[in-house]
Amino acid sequence: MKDSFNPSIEPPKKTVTLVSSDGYDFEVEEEVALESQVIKDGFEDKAVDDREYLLFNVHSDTLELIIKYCEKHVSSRKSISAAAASSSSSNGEEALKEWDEHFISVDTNTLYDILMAADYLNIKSLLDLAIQKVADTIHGRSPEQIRKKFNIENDSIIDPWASE
Amino acid sequence: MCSSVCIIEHLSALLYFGSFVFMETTKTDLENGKKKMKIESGDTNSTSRAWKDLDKDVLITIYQKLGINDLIVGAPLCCTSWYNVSKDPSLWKNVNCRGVFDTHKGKAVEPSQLIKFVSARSQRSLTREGFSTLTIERDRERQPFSFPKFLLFFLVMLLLMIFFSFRKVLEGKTTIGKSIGNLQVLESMEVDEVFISDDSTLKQVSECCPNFIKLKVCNSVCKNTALLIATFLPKLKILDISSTNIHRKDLLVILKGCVELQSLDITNCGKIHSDDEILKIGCRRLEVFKWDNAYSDYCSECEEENEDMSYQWPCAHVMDEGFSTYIEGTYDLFPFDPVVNPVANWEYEPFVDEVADGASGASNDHYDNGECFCDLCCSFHSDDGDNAVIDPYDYSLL
Repeated sequence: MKDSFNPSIEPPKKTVTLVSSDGYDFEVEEEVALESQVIKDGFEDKAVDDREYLLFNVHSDTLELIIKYCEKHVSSRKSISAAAASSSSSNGEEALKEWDEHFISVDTNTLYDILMAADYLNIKSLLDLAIQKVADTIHGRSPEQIRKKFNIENDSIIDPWASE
Repeated sequence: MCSSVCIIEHLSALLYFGSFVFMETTKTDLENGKKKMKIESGDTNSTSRAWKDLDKDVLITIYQKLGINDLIVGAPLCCTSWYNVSKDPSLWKNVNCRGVFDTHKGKAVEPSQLIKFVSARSQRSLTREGFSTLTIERDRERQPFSFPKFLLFFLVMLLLMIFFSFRKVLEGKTTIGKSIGNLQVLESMEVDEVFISDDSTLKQVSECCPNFIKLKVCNSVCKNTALLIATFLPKLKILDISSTNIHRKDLLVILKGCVELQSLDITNCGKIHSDDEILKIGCRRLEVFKWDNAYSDYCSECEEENEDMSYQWPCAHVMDEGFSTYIEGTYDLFPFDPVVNPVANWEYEPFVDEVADGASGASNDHYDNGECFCDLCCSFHSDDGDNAVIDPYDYSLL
């Protein structure tokens, strides 16, 4: 984040302000913000000095993670395409995958926040990542284990195996 | 008394000062557009999230990534809302029960129970809210048939029973027949042969499933099954019988019975002779026809060795590839069990020498008595193997 304010970069990059639900401003580069489909839609219609988005559903903690993710993806996409242009072999995609895996290795509460934010902001790659993480967590576990893991209360669901 | 007032004053001053500092921090934070410390106490991370009320579309996407095991005894049984989402018809269009768990809560799950469950769940959801699917299907059928597009829209409903033991399979067979009667929108089925080898299942399909157009049979296809497919599924459009060792005669029966067939996969069933009727029908009538390379009775390598063209067919070069690869249904014609005696273990070398030297007294019985391994592509007249003559191929089987 701080890097985006580096004054040595010429010309100054266009920025967008994202406001979290608890009132913090996050100034991010335009292309980072455009990772979100929601922001991208109708982005051009907005006046340049009015590029401020109030994200009522996203807490600052989550927004920080989301921005981290988007920045990483924008920068690594650039480096991958640069490597492809110079036809030098790079394992950028693998490294990014590893980074993603590390990024999404969070507790279930944070995972929920990321999932909700990615859904709300419509960041497809992040949503897929979070959904895959949830699916991996659920996979092969019994209902009781899943309830414990995700802190879901048992509302005495009827076992269809008994009723059907 | 005085001291207490003093304490209160101190406290209030402290509080005031504290809040002032606090506000200052907040102000600079917002001015800089950066977040350095939290305003609120950090309990956001300790309150549990509403996983229960997860967005329906998100949850369905999560379910789509799970196997049928998880869908039947796993996540949906956590709470009522998750269970209700699991009834979404899109999750039950493509059901593959192969290798599903065999126990639930310590009890063995009978195949029949499972199939009932799956058919009940998909049927109920489809009758409730799945009619758009049906409409799309009907609309699509009116359109001219284009295969790649068709595949995209193809809503598969795979139904497959599990093998625990042969007894259970027999039990399950009756149930699968009955349950299929409930799946009126069934379009496709992927089964082991044993479930369709008696007439009940395919008869049910032909009576109850007007949209049924795709069948995949695993393991094997015997004569009887081929006949059943040809009889009961004349509207079949896609048939996948790869790796089944089907006999070419049976395949011809199917091709003649299923007049609307548009796609056929017989890869790994064996090679076809380049003059074979199957190839002619397949290339003329089918839009998609997958088969292994055709072979011809001509072997360039042998010809170089034997310029007088007296080499026998199948020659050693062909046999090196393995006999079971030929589509002649070698599994029942061939005198050896390919599992017990894999082709690779056979000794072919004496045969090659024999042909090259023109010597008699072959060591292998099946060469001596003139049995042809391909059986249909050629036959030997001679009994002694010395003056073996290759006959013109006889394809007038059907």
